[in-house]
Amino acid sequence: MVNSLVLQNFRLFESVSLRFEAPTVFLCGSNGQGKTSLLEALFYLANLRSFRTSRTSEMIKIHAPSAIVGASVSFRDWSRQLAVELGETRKLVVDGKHVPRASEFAGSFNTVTFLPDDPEIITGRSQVRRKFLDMFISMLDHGYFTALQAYYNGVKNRNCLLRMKDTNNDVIRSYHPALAKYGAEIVQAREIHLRILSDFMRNIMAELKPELADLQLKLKTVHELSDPKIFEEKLERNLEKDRLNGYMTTGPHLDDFDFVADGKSLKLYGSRGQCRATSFALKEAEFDIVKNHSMSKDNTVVIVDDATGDLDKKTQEAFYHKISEAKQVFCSFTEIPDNPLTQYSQIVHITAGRAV
Amino acid sequence: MFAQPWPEPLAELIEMLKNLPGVGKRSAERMALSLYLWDPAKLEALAGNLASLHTRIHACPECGNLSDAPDNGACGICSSPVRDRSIICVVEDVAQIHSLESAGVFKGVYHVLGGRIAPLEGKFPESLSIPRLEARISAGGIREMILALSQDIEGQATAVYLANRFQGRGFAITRPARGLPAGSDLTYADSATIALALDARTSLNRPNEQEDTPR
Repeated sequence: MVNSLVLQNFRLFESVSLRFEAPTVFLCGSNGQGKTSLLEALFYLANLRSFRTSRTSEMIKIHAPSAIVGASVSFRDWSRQLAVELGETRKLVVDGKHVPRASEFAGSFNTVTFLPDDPEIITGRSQVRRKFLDMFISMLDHGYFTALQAYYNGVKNRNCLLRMKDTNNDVIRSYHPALAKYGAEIVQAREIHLRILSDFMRNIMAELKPELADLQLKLKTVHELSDPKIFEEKLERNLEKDRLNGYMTTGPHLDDFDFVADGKSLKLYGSRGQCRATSFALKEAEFDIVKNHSMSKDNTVVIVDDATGDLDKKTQEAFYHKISEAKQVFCSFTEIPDNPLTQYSQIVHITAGRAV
Repeated sequence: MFAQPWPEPLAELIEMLKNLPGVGKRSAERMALSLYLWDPAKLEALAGNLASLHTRIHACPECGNLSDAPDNGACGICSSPVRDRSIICVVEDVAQIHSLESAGVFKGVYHVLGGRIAPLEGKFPESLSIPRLEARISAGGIREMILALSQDIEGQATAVYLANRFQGRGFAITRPARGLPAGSDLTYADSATIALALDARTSLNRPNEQEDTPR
């Protein structure tokens, strides 16, 4: 679990140091006091990205040159000290030693988040869904992350060639076999994991929103692309079209999936309440899968940011009961909740960038 | 309040040293100060060494390796009578020749490409020494071309490009096997390496009882 957290010049925190003693930590405070920033810092240490912003500068306190996020974590039978300095460049330190590669730093522990913006996964743009799915699969399958990085790098290189007028087609083609290999791996993994997610979600939905109990997650990419040979043929067939467009017009980098219930797309026809419940069930399914998976079983931290307010009391209780199975849980509330977990939790009060 | 700057000549030296790989500001300062304390004769020798680097070393006109042979002559490997000229091992940089040579197993000759096809880094086939490779191959007598390029997607693309370009010219085109490092324990290998090693597994059947050959 995360044993301590140190922040310097991170968001509105000038300097704060926290010890976590319980597997459940409740962060309480009024709005705008820094609860979400604390959760963001925890998330950043696990994933080297924020769930709120893609701009590092937003995480650094105004007028400060850099921010530091550090923590002491222990999972399974090892523990390590993590620290990140966010400034003009990012510096990663593990156990006092500078590590050059993100892969040596990230993945010390896994996170499953429940955030107020979660319904965007259903209703938002396709990038939001891809990001969710990619992070989810990467937690369970390291090979997927490697394939993803190689694939995106290949797409960027090929696009660069497509945009140059005098490129010989043979040069562009030289990227096809590797793109097809990694691309097909990605499509396969997404198909499998969407199927697993669908199964878990249906069980959760049967309780939560019975009218959506036949919910299915459908990948939009044609299934054929899971075969590298067909993928490569498609790249060849699209070559002239891609040159005209200046980018690669097919493949998992443009992929999307849809939440379909009763034959209808929730994105288009779902009510606000239905989308809210579906996104909640999606995250719950993610948690169910991650916590039972050998790679992530003992090092999963759940982060809940004020995301359960509009659930009825019974659902809330069931939810907190379930997430208490995680290695550690961090929840933010505006006031101490009347909740079965409260009596076992460590409660941290947050006021204006200070923790008590 | 400003820190007292280094005297101009030292500051200049520090800036230059910072261009070296792995050297940051702090290390460059330490190096520069330590150089200042050297014996002047030793410093002169170093300066002479640096100044004549390009007159004493040049790229081998055959393969692109570093050569100190007089009159722009070929490198030690290309001019060696014992090397097998029918096998060319294509590498990205000179540094890789040294790694391969330290294994002491390869008896053929090399060809330094000078990088790989990486459009995002501004590297295209035209930026590589492919015409020179073409000329060497056209001269004939090649039995095998080994493409010892990096494993990232740019390296893979470069290998595919070269393999396609020299296909059907009557010699074998190969690449080194990928997988588990010698002398290492499977337990500590990373997942990508294990996947590659499983992909390229070899049969232990005796040749006469070979049933299903691995893919």
